[in-house]
Amino acid sequence: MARYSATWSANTAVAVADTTAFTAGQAPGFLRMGGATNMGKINEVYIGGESGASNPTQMILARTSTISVGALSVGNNALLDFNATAPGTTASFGSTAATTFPQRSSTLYLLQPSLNAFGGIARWQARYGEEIVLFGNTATGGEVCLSSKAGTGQTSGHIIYEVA
Amino acid sequence: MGDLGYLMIDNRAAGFGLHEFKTYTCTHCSAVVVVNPDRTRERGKCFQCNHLICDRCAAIYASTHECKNIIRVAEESMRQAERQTDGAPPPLIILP
Repeated sequence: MARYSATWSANTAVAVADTTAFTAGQAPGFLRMGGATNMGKINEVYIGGESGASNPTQMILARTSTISVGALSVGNNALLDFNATAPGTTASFGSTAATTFPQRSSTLYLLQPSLNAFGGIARWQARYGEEIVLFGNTATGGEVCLSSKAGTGQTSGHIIYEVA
Repeated sequence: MGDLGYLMIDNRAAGFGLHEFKTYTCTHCSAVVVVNPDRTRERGKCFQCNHLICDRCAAIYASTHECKNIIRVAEESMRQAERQTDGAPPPLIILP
């Protein structure tokens, strides 16, 4: 297992409804597994609010009912232990998809860390063995998106996950 | 916070409070459940994977009695993908 940290910086969220295609930079990011034989496990989500005034933001980590297509950019995806051997196929993370943007599922919400982005912090950590599981590279198992359904707070943060 | 997951929402900078919650993750769908300490109703549990599951999966489990553990579903999906990549024919015997 190789552990990664997917991070985003100073993203101003746009409130996007379920089953509506995102556009560039509207959400902190989309995390997509790299191949049909990939499994990923998310064990931490951290969101730090950076808005200059009160801005309640309803962040949602949900599976995507339409998976993104093409390279994902704007966002970093770093191997936590730089000595570790990365798996043959790695996951992608970013807020911009080269070809098709994903759509948030209207039912498969996994975590809802709402916060006031005026200095607010939301952090979730899984119990060992209770990570959020992603698998394959098709909807709805292969990708999650972290996005706002209401509120337009500016945030930075990370998602820590491992890939098998 | 014991042996469960942990969710912290800190809105003190905006003049609101710090909230900390215990969570568990449904082993059938990976939804994170924030534990309501005031709940008296029994939580859903899968007796095959021996783990707490969310209310939605508990309702399905109650009617089907079938364990849909997501790790097992993922591994089966990955094995299937590997077989397709290998070009090998599907196994003749389906093991339980």
